[in-house]
Amino acid sequence: MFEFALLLAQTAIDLNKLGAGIGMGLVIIGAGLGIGRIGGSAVDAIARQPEASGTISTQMLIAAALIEGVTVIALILILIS
Amino acid sequence: MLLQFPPILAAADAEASLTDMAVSHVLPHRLHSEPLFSVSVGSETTTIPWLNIYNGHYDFYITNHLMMTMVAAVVVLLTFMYVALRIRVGGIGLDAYRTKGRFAQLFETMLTFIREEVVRPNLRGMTDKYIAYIWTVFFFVLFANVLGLIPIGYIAQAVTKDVSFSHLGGTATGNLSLNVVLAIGSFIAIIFIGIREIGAKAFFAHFNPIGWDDPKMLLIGIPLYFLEWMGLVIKCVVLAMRLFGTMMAGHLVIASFVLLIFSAAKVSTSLGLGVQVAVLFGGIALTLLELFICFLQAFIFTFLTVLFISTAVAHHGDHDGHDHDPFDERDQMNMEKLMSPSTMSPAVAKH
Repeated sequence: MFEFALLLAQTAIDLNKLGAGIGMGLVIIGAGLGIGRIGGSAVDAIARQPEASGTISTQMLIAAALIEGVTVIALILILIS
Repeated sequence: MLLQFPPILAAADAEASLTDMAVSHVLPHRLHSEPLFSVSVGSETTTIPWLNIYNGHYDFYITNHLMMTMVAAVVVLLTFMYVALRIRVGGIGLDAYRTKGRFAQLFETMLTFIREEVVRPNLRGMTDKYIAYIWTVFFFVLFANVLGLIPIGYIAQAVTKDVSFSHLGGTATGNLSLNVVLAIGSFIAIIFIGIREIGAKAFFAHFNPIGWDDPKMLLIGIPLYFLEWMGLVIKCVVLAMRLFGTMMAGHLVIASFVLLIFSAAKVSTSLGLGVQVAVLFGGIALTLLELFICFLQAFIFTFLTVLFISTAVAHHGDHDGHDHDPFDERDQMNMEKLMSPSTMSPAVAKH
C-alpha cells in the first residue's frame, strides 16, 4: 500500500517542478517582506522629518534595488536549473 | 529570413509545448541560415551551448537581439542629434535660449532630471565631466527596453502572413551578453574615473578602509582589500543580472499569458474566444506595468552606476566642516519633480 503510494508519487508528481515552484515562492516571500519593511520605515522617517525626504528616498531606492537584484538572480538560477 | 531555434530547445516540431514557445519568445533567434564566419575551437566533440560552440565550431550569426542593439544605438544617435539641434542657442533675443519644439523639450526634461537629481547630488563638481557617459548609458538602456516592447515581428507576421518574420523585434537588454557589456562599461567607468580624480595610488589604497599604517590591522586589512575588490566586481555583475532578469522575465510573463489563449483553444474554440477577451485586458495591464519597469530599470542602472562612481572617488579628508547642512537641497534627489514636471526644466530658478 505504502509502496504503491510512493510509486504513484514518483510518477505523478514532477518533483523537479515542485521544487522550483516552492523555491520561487520562498524567494518572492523574502523579497516582498524585505522591501515592504524598507518602504515602511522610509515612509515613517519621512513623516518625522520631511526635509530629509530626498536623502531617505535615495537610501530606500538603493536598498530596494539591491534586494531586487538578489531576487532576480535567484529567480533566474531557479528557472534555468 | 529563417528562424532557427537553438538546439537547447529542440522540441518536436509539431508539438512544441507551450512553455517552450513562451521561452523561445525571449531567446535570441538567428536572422539568417548561414553563419557569417566560423571559428574552430578545440576538438570535434567540444560542445558548450551557452557559448554557442557546437561540435568544436563557433558559428557567428546575427540574431534579432544583436539587430535590436544596433537599432537602439542608431535611434539614440538620431534622436539626440535632433534634440541637440533644437536645444542649441540660436535666434534673436530671449528666444535664443528657449528649446524649440515639444519633442526636444520632453527630452530636455528627462536629461535635466538625470543631471540635477541623480548625478549632481552624488558627483557634485565632476558632473559636467562625466555626464555624457551617464546620459548615454541611461538613454541607451531606456531605448533598448522600450523598443523591445514594440512587437515589430508579430505585426510583420500579421501583415505578410509569413511566420518566419515573427521574431524580428526583441528586447536588446533581454540578452545576457549585452547586459554583461553594459556592466563591464560601468566597471571600467568606475575605475577610470576613480584613477583620474584621486590618483592611482589613493584609488587603489582606498579599498582598504582601515589603513596601511598599523601592522596589526594589516591582518584584517589584506583580506578586506580582496573582499572590497570582489565586492566591486559583484556589484557590477548584479547590475547586469538585475537588468537582464527583469527584462527577460517581464516578456516571459506576457508571452505565457498570451499563450493561455492557445491552451484554452485546444480545449474548445469558444473557450479560446472567451479567454481571448480576458487576456486582452490582462495583457494590456501587464504591458503597461512592463513599460513602467523599463523606465524604472533604466533609472536604477544609471543611479547605481553613479552611486558606485561617487563611492570610488570619496576623498577621506573631505568633510566640509560644521557649516555643511546634511539636509541641503543640492545634495538630495528631489522626487517631487517627478510629480510636477513643469519644475524640472533648467529654466526654472533654483532656490
